[in-house]
Amino acid sequence: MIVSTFNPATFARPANIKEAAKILSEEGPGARVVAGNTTLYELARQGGLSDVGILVDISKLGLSYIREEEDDDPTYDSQSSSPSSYTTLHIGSATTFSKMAQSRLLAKPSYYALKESAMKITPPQVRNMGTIGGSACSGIAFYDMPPVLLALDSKMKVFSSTTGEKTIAAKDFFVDYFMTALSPEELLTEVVVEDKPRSGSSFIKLGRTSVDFAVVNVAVRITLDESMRVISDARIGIGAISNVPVCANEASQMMIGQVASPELIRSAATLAGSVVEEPVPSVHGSSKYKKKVIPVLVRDALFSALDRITPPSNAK
Amino acid sequence: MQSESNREKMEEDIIMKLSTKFNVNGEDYEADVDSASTSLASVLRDTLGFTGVKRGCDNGGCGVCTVILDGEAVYSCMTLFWQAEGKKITTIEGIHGEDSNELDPLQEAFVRNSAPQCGYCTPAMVLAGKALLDSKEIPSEDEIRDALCGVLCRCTSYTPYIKSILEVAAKRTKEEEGGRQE
Repeated sequence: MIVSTFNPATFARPANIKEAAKILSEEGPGARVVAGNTTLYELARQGGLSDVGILVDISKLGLSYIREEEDDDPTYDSQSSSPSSYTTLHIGSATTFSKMAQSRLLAKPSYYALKESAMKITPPQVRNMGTIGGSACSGIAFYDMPPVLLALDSKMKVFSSTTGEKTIAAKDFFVDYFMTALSPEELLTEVVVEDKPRSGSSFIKLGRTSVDFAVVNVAVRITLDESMRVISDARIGIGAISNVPVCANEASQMMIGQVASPELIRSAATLAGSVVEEPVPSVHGSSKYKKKVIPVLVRDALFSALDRITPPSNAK
Repeated sequence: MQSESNREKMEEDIIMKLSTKFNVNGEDYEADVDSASTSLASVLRDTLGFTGVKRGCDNGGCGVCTVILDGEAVYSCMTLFWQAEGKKITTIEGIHGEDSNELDPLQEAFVRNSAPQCGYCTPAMVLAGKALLDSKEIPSEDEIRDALCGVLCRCTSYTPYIKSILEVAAKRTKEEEGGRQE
């Protein structure tokens, strides 16, 4: 038997978010949230988490849902071109990848990267337990969900019993290896994504085999303006190349305001290749290899996102 | 004073004893466990004696600990025992045909195709296949490959395993068509 120093004394099964947050604030760093347990398990097996005294189950808090809401919250509206309606997608933090992979709502082109990345998480035994919240809060740079959260410009809704509810932008959420912007007393409750009309999103993962972790993974979202020719917004999230998933801002800025053409996409993808000076190497991909493969993946992701864009129906 | 006793009461309510009730193969069990980090695999195999649940790598890699938890295939080594609270677990001991001493059609197909060689991964292959066939009437080959990708077979008997599930699916298609003709 593998000796592990992970030996929490007990577990708590709070009935609602407030109770869970209360336990987290009372126990401090000694408490650890459990949703699907797949990452906690891996970390414990590596000899980590010896400081954990209590496990807090969040599977019974009603945080497993995927739904759309008509929102009039002005914070989601900074650049929206159609201010009359803001449809936002809300995914509870304890929603499993399986649920996301099967969701018909996530088949919408603007959300599709979420579905695509969830489907590519293998094996099904992990997909059935692992959650979107766990994937984000672990702060592991090669996980598949974080680049998607960046590409879709997600907002992370957080609850704490002392400061209440707040929202952290995905781009500020990932801080360092195993570190997120969450403090020990905060609980991620929801991921919110604005539905941008005339958008398409896509996720591509390069792994040694289909069951492996990513060598490099890329998620993108492209939005066109009313003419359906000019790119009005673009975001590129890239994982497994740095201590945190990164946004290729220069490359996306280059595309904004331009007519979407193969040449433009190719040169943006090339520019995305230099988003980090030297990608962090792993056993399956050297720094040099990763640097070469980033533009290829970004290019493919951009093309497939562009392909998915459908004009909004006039009936609405 | 009042609030303190309230708090104590709340703690009593929330922080439970390390005991969990669940249902395995149709029977209710209550497991008393010392450590909150004990895996479901350990409780099923070592405490309750369901030896069809193997602890291969015990590391979320080989898949031979696969059980069906509320209709979904999961790694029981990666699942903490208390995550199964109130849920229905199916292990290989609970898989059978219409009669309890008959084989499930999937097991029959495995035997027919000589899919099990050393047999170590077979319970997990049955459960992974069963979870797929229960959720999807007629799965495609891609879906079958995806369903089985989490279980390693070091005898490399993957092709017969996949073929067997395809056969079960083909039989279902036939039955469906037959039913339509009638």
